[in-house]
Amino acid sequence: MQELPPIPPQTPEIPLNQVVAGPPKKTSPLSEILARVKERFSAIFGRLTFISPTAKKILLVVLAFIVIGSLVAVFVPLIKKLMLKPEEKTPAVETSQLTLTTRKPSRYATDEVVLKFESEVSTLEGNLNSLEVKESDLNPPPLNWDVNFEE
Amino acid sequence: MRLLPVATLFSFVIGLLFASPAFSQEEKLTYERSYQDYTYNYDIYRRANSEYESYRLQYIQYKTLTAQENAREATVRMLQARDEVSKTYLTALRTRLSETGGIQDDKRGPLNSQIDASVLWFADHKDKIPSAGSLEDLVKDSDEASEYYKQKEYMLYDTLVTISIGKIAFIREKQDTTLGEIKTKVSEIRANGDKDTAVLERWILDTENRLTRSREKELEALELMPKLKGNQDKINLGVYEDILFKLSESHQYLKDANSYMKEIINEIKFED
Repeated sequence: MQELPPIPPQTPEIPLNQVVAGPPKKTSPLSEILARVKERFSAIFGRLTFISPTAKKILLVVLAFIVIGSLVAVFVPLIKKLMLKPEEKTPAVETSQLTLTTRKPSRYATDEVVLKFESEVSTLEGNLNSLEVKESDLNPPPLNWDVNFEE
Repeated sequence: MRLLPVATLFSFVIGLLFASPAFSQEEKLTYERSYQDYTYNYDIYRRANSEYESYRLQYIQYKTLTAQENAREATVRMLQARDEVSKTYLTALRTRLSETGGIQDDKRGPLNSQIDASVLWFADHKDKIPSAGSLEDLVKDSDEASEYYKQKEYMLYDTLVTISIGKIAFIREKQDTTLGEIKTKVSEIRANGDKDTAVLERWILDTENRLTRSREKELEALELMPKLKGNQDKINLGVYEDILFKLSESHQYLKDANSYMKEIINEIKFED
C-alpha cells in the first residue's frame, strides 16, 4: 500500500459572500462593569431564598429606579450648569445718571441761581450728616457728692 | 536826637500792631479750649477722689489723729477738685451754648446768666473749703455743694436740650430760606412758560410738609421738658432720652426735606 503524500497545509478558501466570525470583540469597560454588577446582584438575590421571584423582580426594579433617579438628580443640574453661559453682569445704573443721559438739559441747567441752590443744598446735606443730636461730650460729669466719714 | 521821639512813636505803633492779635486770641474762649480745660480738671478730680476714698477708709479703720489729718487734707483736695470740675464743665457748656446757632435770644440769655451765676457759686465755694477746720465742717461744705448741684441739675439738661434743638433749628432755618428761594424760582419758570411746574410745585409742598413735621417733633420734645424733673428734683434720664429721640426724628425729617430739595433742583435742570 502506497502511502498517501502528506497534504500540504492549506489556508481555507473563503467564499466571497461568506461571513466569517472574526476575533472575539472587545467588550466595553462599562458593559463589563454592568455585567459584574448584574452577577453580584444575581448572587445576592440567589441567596435571598425567602423572597419569592416576583418580589425579587419588584425589588430589582425599585432599586434600579432609585439608582437611576439619584444619578439623574446629581448629573442633570451639573450638566445644566455647564451648558448655561455665565450671566453677564449688568452694571447698576443710578436713576440720576439715567436721567442725565436720557433727558435734555433745560435752560436752567446752567442758571447761576439754580447752581447756587445746588451748592447750598449740598452744604446742608453735609451739615445734616455730621449733626449729632445728643451732646454726648457734655453729659453732666459723674461726681461723688456723698462725702461722709461714717462706717 | 531829633529822631529819638519819632523812633519811639514808631516802635510803639509797631508794638501795638503786633500785640493786638495776641490779645484778642487770649480773650476769646472757644468751646474746644474750655472742653480741654474741663477734661483736664476731671482727670485731676478722679485722682483726688480716689485718694479721698483711700484716706477715708484708713480713718474709719484706725481713727488715729494722723489718719484724721490725712483724711482732712485729702477731702479738701477732692472737694476743691470737684468744684473746679463743676466750674469748668459749666464753662464748657456755656461756650457750647454761645457757639450754637438757631437758639432764640430769650432762651439763650437766661441760661447764660444762670450758668454764670453757678460758675461764680462754685468758685466761691472752692475758695472757702480750706478754712474748714474739721471733717464735720468738710462734710457740711460738701453737702452744701451737693444741694446746690441738685437744684441746678435741671438747668444743665435744659441747656443740653436747648443746644440740641438749636443745632436742628439752625439747619432748618437755612433750609427754609433755600426752599423759599426755590419757590420764587419755580414761580418765575411758570411765568416764563418754559416748563410744566405742576410736579415741582407738588414736590415743594411735600418738602414744606417735611419741615413742618420736623418743627412738630421739636415741639413734642419741648412738651416733655416739664417731666424731666422727677421725684425729689431728681432728673428723669428716661425722659431725657425720649426728648432726644423726638429730636432725632425731627433731624430725620430735615434729611428727607433736603433730599427732596435735591430732586426739585435736578428736575428744574432738565426739560419736561
